[in-house]
Amino acid sequence: MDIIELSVGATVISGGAFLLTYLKKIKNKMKRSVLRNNEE
Amino acid sequence: MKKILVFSLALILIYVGVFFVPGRVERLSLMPDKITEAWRFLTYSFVHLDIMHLIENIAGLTLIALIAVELRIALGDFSSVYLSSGFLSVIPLWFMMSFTALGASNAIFGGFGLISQETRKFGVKVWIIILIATLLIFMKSFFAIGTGEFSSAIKQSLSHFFGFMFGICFFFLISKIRSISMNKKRSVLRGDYR
Repeated sequence: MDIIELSVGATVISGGAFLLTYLKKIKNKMKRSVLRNNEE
Repeated sequence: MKKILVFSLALILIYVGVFFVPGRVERLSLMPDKITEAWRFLTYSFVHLDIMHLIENIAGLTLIALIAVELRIALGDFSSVYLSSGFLSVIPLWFMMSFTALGASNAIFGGFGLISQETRKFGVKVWIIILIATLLIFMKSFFAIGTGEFSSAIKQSLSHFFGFMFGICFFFLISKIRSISMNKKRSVLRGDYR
């Protein structure tokens, strides 16, 4: 009988980490744009 | 938003606690020859085979929790998608292919399904996230072609894919129900039923 380990794996963890970094980057960009608009 | 981190920490503590239960795999995992022991449907996603399995899933859970906080996902959405994916998404495949299932990754992939839908808040194209996640899910099976591990790798990939799709569909469903109930509330407040 097969035992299937339902584990996430390194590739998916790397992909998720990349997505998290990317989202943080977009969020910072949005914040900066809002601050610039407020200053103007 | 930080409630999601507390929820994830509680789950991690449960995973670690269950890891130290003697004979956890035999007593709590989902086995085809123990189908009468119904509690296994609720316990298998909390059981991990070895320390690497546990660490990988803790890392995955931490990651989706951090992304969910970043995306400002509500705790109710996160917890309902996570738990229902963990309990339900492997069942159809398990009935079809008959294997012993254990681990939380289906729930984690359900969380990724939810995240894929919510990234649109940041202007990210949803189909790109779905495509990349699907490729990553089946990558292991692709590299196992022609080896003795292919059979278990494809079952694992399919099971993860079911979890991912379950997360997307479940979140779609609860969003629709919520929007219908909000519309009804608005109609009542506007006095449309008078």
